[in-house]
Amino acid sequence: MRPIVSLAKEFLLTSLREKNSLFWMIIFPLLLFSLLSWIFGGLERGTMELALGAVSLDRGPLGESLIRALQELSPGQRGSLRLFSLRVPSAEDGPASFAEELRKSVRDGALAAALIVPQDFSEKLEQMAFFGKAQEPAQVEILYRRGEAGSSMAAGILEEITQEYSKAFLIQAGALRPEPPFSLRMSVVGGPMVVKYVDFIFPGVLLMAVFVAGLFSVPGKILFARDTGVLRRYLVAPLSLDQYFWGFFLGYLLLCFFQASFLWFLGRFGFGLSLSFSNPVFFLYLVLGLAVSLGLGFLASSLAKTTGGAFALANLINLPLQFLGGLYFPLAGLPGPLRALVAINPLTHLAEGMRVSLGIGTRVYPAWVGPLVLAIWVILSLFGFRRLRLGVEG
Amino acid sequence: MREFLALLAAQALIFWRNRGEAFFTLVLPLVFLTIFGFIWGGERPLVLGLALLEPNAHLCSILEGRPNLKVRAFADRESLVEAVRRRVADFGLVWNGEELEFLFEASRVQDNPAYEAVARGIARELELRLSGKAGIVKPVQVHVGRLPAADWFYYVVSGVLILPILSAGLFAVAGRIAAMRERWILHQLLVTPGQPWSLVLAIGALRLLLALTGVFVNLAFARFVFGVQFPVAWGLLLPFVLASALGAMGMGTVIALLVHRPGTAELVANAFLQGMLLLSGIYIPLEFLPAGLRVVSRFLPTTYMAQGMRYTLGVVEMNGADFWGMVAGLALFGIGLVPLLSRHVAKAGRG
Repeated sequence: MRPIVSLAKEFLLTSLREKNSLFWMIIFPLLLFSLLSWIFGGLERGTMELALGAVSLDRGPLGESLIRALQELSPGQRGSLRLFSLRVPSAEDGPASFAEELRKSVRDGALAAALIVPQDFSEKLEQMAFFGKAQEPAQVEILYRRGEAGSSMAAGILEEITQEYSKAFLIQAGALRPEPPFSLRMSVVGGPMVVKYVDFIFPGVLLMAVFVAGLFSVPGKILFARDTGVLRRYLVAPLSLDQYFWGFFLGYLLLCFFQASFLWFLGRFGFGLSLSFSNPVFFLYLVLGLAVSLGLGFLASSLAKTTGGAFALANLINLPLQFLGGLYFPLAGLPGPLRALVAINPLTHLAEGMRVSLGIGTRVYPAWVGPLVLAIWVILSLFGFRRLRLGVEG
Repeated sequence: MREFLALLAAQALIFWRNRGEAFFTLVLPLVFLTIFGFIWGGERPLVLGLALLEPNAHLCSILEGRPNLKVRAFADRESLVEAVRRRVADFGLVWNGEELEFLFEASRVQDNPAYEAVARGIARELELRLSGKAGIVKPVQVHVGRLPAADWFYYVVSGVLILPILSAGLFAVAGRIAAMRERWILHQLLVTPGQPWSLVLAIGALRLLLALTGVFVNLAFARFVFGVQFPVAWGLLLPFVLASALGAMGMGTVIALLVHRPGTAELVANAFLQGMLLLSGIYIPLEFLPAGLRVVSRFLPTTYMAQGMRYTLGVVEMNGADFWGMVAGLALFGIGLVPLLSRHVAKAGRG
């Protein structure tokens, strides 16, 4: 047992001392977790600052009241919500020339979107309130850049505020009852409430860290030891190949423990991570994740002739498996062949298993599919392990 | 000239043999495009699962009037819940005559806000129709962007195209020169009658070729695999790619001057690259960044490179003077550091 523990300690220390592995296995996951939690956590809390513009060309008073309603929602006017900042004309600006300026600003990207209220806005609204369906609704223009996520979101916000304004106008004019004729309910399935982004991303980043460590540790440590002759030197000492691998596995396990601890600490105290780890199934999936990642590392190493080739192969499978494993965002609506790739991707089932065990996800696949896919990968990895030429066989 | 060509051929061979570098420069952007293309390529309608427990003609007509919704019918609430849970439907709607219920899956953290907005719109319209009213305001969204057929994937592709330029430039200097020094190749080259600057020029020329190749290969891939057609302004694209590659080499030079060990230089370049990609509006729109990170993004050259690339591909609008100012700035930054780099190479070769 002592040689195994000594080897594990050596693996761990070299991983932490070597700048490359320290960065990719510890620092990069922490940076990625911080950035994603900061960015998407902020979006979740509505602390975005989309630059919007609005102008009323209306001859009557209602256009201005719509602009005022928008202004009331801009920063500082509604608690901590900072969804957008609003550019409106000053007293010196002519509305028509300001509308042209807004059009140019949206086109050039200086503004995310802009609202232009037409000249006959008040007239049409009053006619509609009195004559009902017979008249045409007032058309307001929302300028945006299609396809650009921020601009599309800004246009959606402007549209929603405009619709709410028109509903409020109808209620105020007595044309619509304040209470809707039906009750409205927004329900969440697959969990008691909508999952916080930091909770959602935690298992994803943890799996990424574990996966990268396993996938790259085999070529980085074992093949490197083989190529530099270090492995031969180990094995002329009273140490068996089995002990060497158990030492390697234990060292990797300890590394993953550090990764998980650092991530949890950062999430808990930096971003309000609220996951409870009381379900032991989570840890079972974590250990399975370790086994599969190491296994894939052995498989990549056995398929490549050189250490460089093994690294290239590991690099080639690393990102596709991460993105198609739903680690960073839920996957849905993919085309057929890609759905098949997602279904055989071990990270899909590891992420799903972890999230289900933490109570922040639902099963997309029947319960038996995940363990079966993971078992197949472990068996394939054992095959890779057996095929791996370590140059010490003789 | 012969000396330069010989060095260029040697550099090309070294690049080709270094699989990691070839992967990051030529293959990784293709991998990104493939993944993003399948996930985000083309506009997909939202799938709304509908369980109509009581008939409602108004609701059916509202849903028919929304072309971005694909409606799938379910017999009861339970089967709809299961479909939403398994992501067969993006979100669900149940109408029982008295209550309008929308169902969202708990872990679809990034999609749910958009689904909720659609749900609120449906509820608002139903309320008006059941009250015998019509909407009195009709918001009309008008696209004023440069490219009429743009969707999110066009922005991603044009952003990803700077990846081969950055990889070719950054790793050229940060990794290659430091590695040649550590393996004593640099010393051997510098005891030949050649000049240090001819080596620097050979490395630079190869990287410019690689950057151009990377951009063209990725453009062709996006066009033929995903049907993404950009109205490319070739007269702008070529100088832009060359200037950006020079700028990236300038960044690599700064790293090489600060960090001497090849492994560390490559690591710093890689860390720098990853951070810049996340904060330059390539994968995550700049509007989504918190205020502090948005300030950081303004100081990153990649933010301007991504915008410049989008401009040359006809995706976004940009002031011509700003564009040429950026091209000149990037090129001068890279070229301005050549003498410094030559001196560094000579010094490193002697040491």
